[in-house]
Amino acid sequence: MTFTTATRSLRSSAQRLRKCSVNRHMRRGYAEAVASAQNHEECDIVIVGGGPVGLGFASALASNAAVRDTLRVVLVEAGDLSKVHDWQIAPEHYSNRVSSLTNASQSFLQGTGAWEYVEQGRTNPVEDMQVWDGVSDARIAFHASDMFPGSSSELPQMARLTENLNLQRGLLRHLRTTPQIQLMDKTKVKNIIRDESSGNWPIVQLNNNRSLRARLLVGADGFNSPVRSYAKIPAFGWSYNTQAIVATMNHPPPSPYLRPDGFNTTAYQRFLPTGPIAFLPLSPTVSSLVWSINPPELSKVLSANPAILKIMINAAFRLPEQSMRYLYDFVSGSVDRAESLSEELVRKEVQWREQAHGIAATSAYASSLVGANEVGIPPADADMVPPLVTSIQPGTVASFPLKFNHAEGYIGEGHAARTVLVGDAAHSVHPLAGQGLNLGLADVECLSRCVANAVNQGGDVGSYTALLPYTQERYPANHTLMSAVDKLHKLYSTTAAPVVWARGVGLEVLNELDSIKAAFMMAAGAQVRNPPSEPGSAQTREHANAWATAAASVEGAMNGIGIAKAVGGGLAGVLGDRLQDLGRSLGRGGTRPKN
Amino acid sequence: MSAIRFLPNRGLTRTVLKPLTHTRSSLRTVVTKPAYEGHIPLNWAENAFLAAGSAIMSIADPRRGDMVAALAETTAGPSLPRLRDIMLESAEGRQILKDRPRVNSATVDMDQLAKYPQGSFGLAYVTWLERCGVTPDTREPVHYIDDPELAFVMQRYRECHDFYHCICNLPVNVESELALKFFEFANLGLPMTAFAAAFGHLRLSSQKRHRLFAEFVPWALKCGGSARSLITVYWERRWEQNVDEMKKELGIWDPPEARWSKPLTEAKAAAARRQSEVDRSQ
Repeated sequence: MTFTTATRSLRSSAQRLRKCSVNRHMRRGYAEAVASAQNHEECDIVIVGGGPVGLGFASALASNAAVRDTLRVVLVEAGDLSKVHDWQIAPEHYSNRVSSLTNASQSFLQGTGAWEYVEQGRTNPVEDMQVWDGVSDARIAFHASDMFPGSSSELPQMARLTENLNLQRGLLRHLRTTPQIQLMDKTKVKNIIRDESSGNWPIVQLNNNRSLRARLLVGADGFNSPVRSYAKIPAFGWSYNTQAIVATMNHPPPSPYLRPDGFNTTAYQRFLPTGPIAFLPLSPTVSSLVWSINPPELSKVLSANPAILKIMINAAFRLPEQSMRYLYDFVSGSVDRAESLSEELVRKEVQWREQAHGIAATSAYASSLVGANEVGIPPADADMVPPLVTSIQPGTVASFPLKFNHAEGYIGEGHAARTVLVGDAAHSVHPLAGQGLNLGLADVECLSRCVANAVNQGGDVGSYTALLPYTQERYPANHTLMSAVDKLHKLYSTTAAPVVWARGVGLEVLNELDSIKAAFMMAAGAQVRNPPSEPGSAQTREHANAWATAAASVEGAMNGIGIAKAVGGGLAGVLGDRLQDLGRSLGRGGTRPKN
Repeated sequence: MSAIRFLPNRGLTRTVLKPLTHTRSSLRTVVTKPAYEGHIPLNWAENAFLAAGSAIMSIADPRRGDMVAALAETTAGPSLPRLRDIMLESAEGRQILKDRPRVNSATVDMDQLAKYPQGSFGLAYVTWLERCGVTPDTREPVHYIDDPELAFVMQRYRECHDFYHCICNLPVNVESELALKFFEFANLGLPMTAFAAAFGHLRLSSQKRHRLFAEFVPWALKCGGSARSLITVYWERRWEQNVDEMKKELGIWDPPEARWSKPLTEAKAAAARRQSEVDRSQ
């Protein structure tokens, strides 16, 4: 109970400070400052932004009784949250914004209790992943069952695909159970000013003439973050000069010859030099598309013509890279074509390119005659490529520019103290690894731990010392992953022959090294991370996991040696005897007797 | 701990599942089946050996058409994909790739060409064939290019070589052939044309070599470099076009007067003879 009294005393001192500030402002005659200072409401935590990350943070705070009951938490969102709360959609339709929630993110959501409010039937596990190079066709396959089975009791999944709206709705429903957290939707942040007289606390002025003075101001307000510009935290980054197209695709269910259970749990990603194209399974007959392409004219044409987009998606997973480059030019209009663009014209071009490369009409790599592969026994290589898209769900095509962006810090300092950035406000990353939202959720998991710690120790949640562990834990982790994703994008955007050769060989070798693949999957968050009570110990656990993987790979190698021994027979026996002799003589020399 | 105990089990399931993926990846890396008629798949060592061997043989005897062809194919490298991309960019080049037309006396009716009016490309081509005493049927088929489309591009270059002679107004003697090789290198960038241009002149007399480098090479490099890429020209669709107009369109101008073995009047007479023969037989 000591922390409650401590917080109370802090609060009363804050109120005293505020009174002083009012007097000083009056003397100076700053009309506006006076107005704001007089009317502002005291809050402990103000979260700006009601996206999945902002709501995730609110939900994490709500799940902690000590935090929930001692702090006044307000979430401000410009949009209408009741729309999200009442979001309903036909079971066969899916929203186009989908995230792959890693096991780490999922266990965080389970820990806060929000996961049970997410509609499970609309989520889909990813158990296998096929990733290949668009130029050399070098391929790597990830299987969740290959991963170090630290969580053998759970489903072997790498991630779970969830519509962002489904997640947001779940978080809102969870927040509905804790009225202590105040949600202010349809409210815009007009301005953020500094309360100069009382330790530079931020005051958030809202368009409903209210203003909130925050002990801690959390910016979950996206790429153009007003909180970041208030905190004057510089950000660095660049545009990828590519557009991402998202859409929801209909396709026939996986062939019963390939998947007798009828599940659709394989994600496909092909790295074309313009950017990767990804096929993310949502249900047996529906998948989500994320395709980064350039030039921008192409994304304009494709967004406007779903029928052409459908043909281009099927081709993009199958045709050689040089033909895709030609089709890009053909569709975007940078090569001269006599006829105006139509579905039939594009289909004919694709068909011609298939013939030019000698792709048989019955091959899994043929797509221009949709329907040929739908019945009967599928071609031998049918699981190398995703199912053929038959249609795009109406109104689901959207595109947005891609960029890399990282704030230089996450905590405001000096005049902009008591501010902190989470999610896209702090970082934007290329979607090729599906990590954007997962990084944001990892941020709020860590930040909520820091807040809980400060409350438990009777500290000030907005103080630099309370927030420092957040930056210390998340900044290096985020930066490592973000730069890895960025380098991956750059590595695969070149067509220079030596680079293509090297990355192809690298990928093929990697494909044979299961323990390294498992380590990759773990680094990408497929490993469940139990939220520890103290910041910092998450790393210890990851560290332990890495060693466990190393142990597993050594054991695997030893098994291999064992087999070689058995095969080698006599020679191995002789060698073994010699080694045993050596061991005995060493044992006699040492203190430990050898049997 | 329990996880580690399960490991041998996991290994077992994997050995059962693995072979599938292995057969698939081997499909991609080793090419043994011909991709088109006449295709002879080579690995890189065979390719290198053939390139060196055909280079030596071509220098020793430039009339070995098969060796020159093999040299062109084994050294083509990235030049063919480049030519294909150039063809894809233009509507005319694209149509060639779609139709994959062949040029020989079976696909081109020489008697029909002789009927085209004075100044037309069709008549000019027949006249050039007569004057040089060659036929379009002596072209070696492509063997060593793995991609069927690139093999066609190579074939197309080879079969169109006579059209380049005709449009550039060059006969088939050694120095004209070399001038045209320089022209082709500047225009198309095939490594073999550079090879021929670099070594071919060693067989010329010093007087002829001087004329080649003083007069023809500057023209070839300038004209070849600035003209439209000739691989994208659908020659068979342009029989009626006026030759001068065509030269203007493609950006080609005449080289210095070459040494013809047969005067133009004689060739024209031969063409007229053919024309009258055709008329009589009808």
